[in-house]
Amino acid sequence: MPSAIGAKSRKKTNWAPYFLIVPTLVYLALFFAWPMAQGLLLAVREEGALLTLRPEPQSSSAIAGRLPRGTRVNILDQQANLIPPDELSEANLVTEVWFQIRAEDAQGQPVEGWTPGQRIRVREVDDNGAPLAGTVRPILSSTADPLTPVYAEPDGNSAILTALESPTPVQILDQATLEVWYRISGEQDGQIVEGWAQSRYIQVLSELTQGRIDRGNTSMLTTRHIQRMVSDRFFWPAVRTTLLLIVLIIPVQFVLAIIMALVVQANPKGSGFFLYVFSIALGVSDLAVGIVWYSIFTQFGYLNSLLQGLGLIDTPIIYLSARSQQWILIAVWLAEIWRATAIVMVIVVAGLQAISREVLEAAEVFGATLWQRIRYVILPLLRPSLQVALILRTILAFQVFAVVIVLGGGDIVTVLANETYRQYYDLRNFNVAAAYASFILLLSMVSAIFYLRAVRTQEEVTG
Amino acid sequence: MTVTADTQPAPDQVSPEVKAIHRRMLRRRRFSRALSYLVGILISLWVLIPILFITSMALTTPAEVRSFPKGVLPLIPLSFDTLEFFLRSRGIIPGIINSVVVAVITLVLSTLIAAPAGYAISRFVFRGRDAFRLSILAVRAFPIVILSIPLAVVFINVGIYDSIFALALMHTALALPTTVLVLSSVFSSIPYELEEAAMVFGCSPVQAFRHVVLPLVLPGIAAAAIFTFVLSWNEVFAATILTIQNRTLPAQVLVTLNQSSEPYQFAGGFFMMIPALIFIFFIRRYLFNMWGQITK
Amino acid sequence: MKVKQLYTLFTVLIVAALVLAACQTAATETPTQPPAAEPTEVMEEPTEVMEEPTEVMEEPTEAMEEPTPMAEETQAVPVTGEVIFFSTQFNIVEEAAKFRTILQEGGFDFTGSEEGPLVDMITAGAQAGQGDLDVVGALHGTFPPLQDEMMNMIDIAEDLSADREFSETFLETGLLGTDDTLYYIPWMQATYIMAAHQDAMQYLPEGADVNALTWEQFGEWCQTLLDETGGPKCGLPHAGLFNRFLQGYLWPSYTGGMVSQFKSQAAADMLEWARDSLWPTIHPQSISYEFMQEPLQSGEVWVAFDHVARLIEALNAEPENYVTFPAPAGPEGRGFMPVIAGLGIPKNATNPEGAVALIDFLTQPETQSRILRELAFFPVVDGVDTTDLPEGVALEASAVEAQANSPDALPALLPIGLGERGMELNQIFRNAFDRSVINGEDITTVLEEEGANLQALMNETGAACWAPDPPSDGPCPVE
Repeated sequence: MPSAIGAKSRKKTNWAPYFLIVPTLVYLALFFAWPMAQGLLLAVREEGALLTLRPEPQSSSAIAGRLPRGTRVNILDQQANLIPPDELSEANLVTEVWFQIRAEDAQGQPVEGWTPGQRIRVREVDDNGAPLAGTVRPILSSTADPLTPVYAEPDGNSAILTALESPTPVQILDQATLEVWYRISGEQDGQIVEGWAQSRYIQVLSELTQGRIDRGNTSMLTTRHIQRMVSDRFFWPAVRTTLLLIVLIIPVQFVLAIIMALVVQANPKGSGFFLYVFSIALGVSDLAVGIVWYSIFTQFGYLNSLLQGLGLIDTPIIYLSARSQQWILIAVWLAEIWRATAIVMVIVVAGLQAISREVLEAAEVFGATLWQRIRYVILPLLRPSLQVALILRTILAFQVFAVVIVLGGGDIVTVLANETYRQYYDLRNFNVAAAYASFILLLSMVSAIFYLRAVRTQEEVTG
Repeated sequence: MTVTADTQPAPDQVSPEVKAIHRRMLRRRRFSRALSYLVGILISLWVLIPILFITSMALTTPAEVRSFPKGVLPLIPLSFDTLEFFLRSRGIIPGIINSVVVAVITLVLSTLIAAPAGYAISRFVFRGRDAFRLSILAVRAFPIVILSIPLAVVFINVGIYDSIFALALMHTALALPTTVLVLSSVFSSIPYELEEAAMVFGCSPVQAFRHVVLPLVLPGIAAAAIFTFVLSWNEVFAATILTIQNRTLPAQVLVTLNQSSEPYQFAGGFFMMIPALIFIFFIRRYLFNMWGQITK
Repeated sequence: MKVKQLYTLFTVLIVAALVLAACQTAATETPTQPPAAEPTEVMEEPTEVMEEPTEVMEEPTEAMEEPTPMAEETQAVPVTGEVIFFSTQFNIVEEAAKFRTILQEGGFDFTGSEEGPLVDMITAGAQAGQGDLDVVGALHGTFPPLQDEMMNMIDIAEDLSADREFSETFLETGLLGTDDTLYYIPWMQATYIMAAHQDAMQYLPEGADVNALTWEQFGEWCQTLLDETGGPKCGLPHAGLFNRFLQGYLWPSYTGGMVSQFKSQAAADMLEWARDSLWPTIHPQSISYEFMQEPLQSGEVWVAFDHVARLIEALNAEPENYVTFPAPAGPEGRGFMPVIAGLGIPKNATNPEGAVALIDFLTQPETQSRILRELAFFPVVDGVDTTDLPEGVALEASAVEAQANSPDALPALLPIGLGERGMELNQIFRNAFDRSVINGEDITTVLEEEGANLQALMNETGAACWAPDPPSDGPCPVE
């Protein structure tokens, strides 16, 4: 047992231990606490769910109201703010560039006016990079107007002087940077909310006075992601399969682990060999385990080879298909037992070593059979180890992933970790993926608390 | 188990009933030992046979891999074709290199960070020690899935996404709790008296640590480090999410799983298992020290 | 283990790892070019969406002078340095090797990648301000999540169109629903057709023309095959591009639309027919079929529906044994879906001139012809030599043409406007089919629930309807 330094009653505190644990604390805070908080937040927050409206067509701290994304709105007014060049690098500016151009229209008449910068391809720049000349860009969309309008002012509401086709050459005289704001009104909860917002957030419908809030700029807390997770087609099957696997696998593993530990204990001569063999699975990745058991259960795999060799079947049976889900479960069950029993065994062996030999011998002398010795002496003394092993193993079982993918293909038989992966990787839905991950965390904590309570109360009861 | 037969008094001094009891005990013991050997052998077979299967699949020709029924006698014919095909496949050698690099970085980083903390827990009693230990234990319980996703988003924002350093950082975070607890128990097994004795002889605390304690704990630290290596080598979930171009071996195999042929898959499984088999062999005795002491 | 041995072992390991790590980073560092002036300007105003395209455009205008002389020499090695090209197409080993050979003729190379990680990588690069790649080659559906990160290709398209003719429809799909921002240049197209082994032809229903089948006749054909040959012989790629089968073929053929008619009575009838008359005749291993060419070649399946690139191996191996034909028609027409892959340049690409050179190379009629011949992806430009094609490709080309030109052809286009939630559309269609046809749930309930999901998706993304649905004002309504 460690002797304790620092357990002095002197007032002076020893700072040494705190310095020593600081790196670990910092690292864990950075890489555990913080991502976990982020993950939980990701599951309940929705970015851009609301659009904040301002009383004036400019960014200010005043708020005129908020509308949720997707609301139908009426577009009442429009204003294009000219942004002076020195303010261009301000944050949150959403701008359009307009060019003042001079060109000849279809009839050869010179025309001078403004047109959106998007419509002009700049071909010449001066030494400072300012555009000098260009051509009108082609319109590729078959539903849009094929001609480019030229306006009197850098404002889409001003008079249209003419329209140019591509690729009319133009001279660029000046350029203006605008931020366009719309004044909109929409209804929420029976109330009319009105205010200004930048144009980028509003999708204008073909009737130019109607629009729709395309995205917001404010995030809000919501249970939508959790609801989507629960209503997902794969949610309940994943929960069922995960829980079923836990219930089926863990008891078997514990019994097996105790047997393995007893074997190692009972045979000092062979224990080195048994120790090594039984612990092999500790170092094998779950993906490799999945592949190993796939080679056994696949249609042309070892199991069928054996059965056919013994003459029990004529044609190979397809085990891993949608019609035989129970076989997939059995394969996963076997693979998990094969893989993860070693962890439990190691803990049990260490716990067994702590049981004093005298107690066991005394029980033997008093005529206890093997079974009685196990039940009344060994198991109760192993309780702390078993508790730790149970908690650890269950938490790991909630995260079983690669084995199920290899054997079950991900769609037929799915577990919670697989669903997290699918939401993140295939559906690119980070929020729902975080919701799944949080759910796994919740289940892990609940089971840990359950084990702590359940195993302890029994101990108290039996004294 | 001590055999009471050794301390038996001379036969003619013992009553027949006692002799009968002794005989029964001996028989029972022999029987239970034979039974435990048998059970041990059976379980060993259960563990070893699948490994044998995958080895024979990896060390034979691809044609044999696709054949049916599969020969029960393995390693016939012996051939390195499948392994060669696997190793030559795109992304495998880089994957192996990446796995090794990530595992070594994880090993070094986690040992460096965890050793001081382990020493602190074992040698000092300070306020917050129990809370610290408890939080370490609690942290081991967190599922990796919940960490990978926000960390992926953060790594993207910071700009180190898809680099082996990012993945190594993640793996270190995973390995740190175990390593701290293991190292604390390793340090605990060295009595403080040794350091005190060294300091009596004029060493400073640091010197006492370096010359007395360090050589004694080195095997334990090595074992913990090797275990961390194996953990990082095998990790598949975070690796798949956090890497694209610089994939580790398990990530590469998982991603191409559906499209790849069976020889490729089996060679991949075999290859991923090899380091584990080798390393676990070396640290088997320490495993019980490591895991056992955590429960105390 | 002795302490000394441990020390040596660890030192060796660490040194080895450091050496390897150094080699890795050295290898990946060479492609990066010193960032040009333009991208740094771009980074100062990250939130100005409209501003950026005009400034970044200045580089390609200067680069435009180069491609024209290069277009004349087809074997030119570009002087523009290494171009980093990532493609989600041609990821499989054999295809990758062929594509690489084609690229090397122009002095280029590529890296294959999955779609998810590629999107992550581009987004990451955009936020870090450093471009990792110059050209992105991917299917249409990959580009919407990247709209903020992609350069406007309209000027490049204008220049390239000077000496080749792009298919107009595909140039338009590259707009991703906007009026004047082109996110990708069309690269290649493909579609889905059917293929059948010659042995299956004798079991065709009476009076059926294989080039003008209806879905009902197809179901009967599969039933006959099941009865007469002792096992199911029709296959569908359920683990592959099945969602395109549903979105582009089944739903439009029966309902005349994709989204707007999702839960109509016609759709319910179609699902009922699929459940009772189609699925029981389909091979059960279809659940795990991703590429139909393997089951076709192994004889497990005699009639299959799949993407042209996933049938080509079988057709090339034994062209005389196979027949290709258009997909069947339903009451509302012969629904089919053309699939398009495009080439885009991220805004912060380090070598935009090289990127343009690569795109120019890939859209040359000669290169398009080679891709057609060797990889069975069809061209998007005119003037591609289609004489003397390999037999397998010729088989496919005839079916593709027959399908597009059939009198009741009903083209269904790829979704537009769903942004990064495009995958959810696929999941909704899959769910509707799997739940009602495979799991046997009540069809009306399934359609109601998935229809609600579909409407929510449309409302939240604001996506307007696309072909074959009539255009809508605002989010596409599910009637």
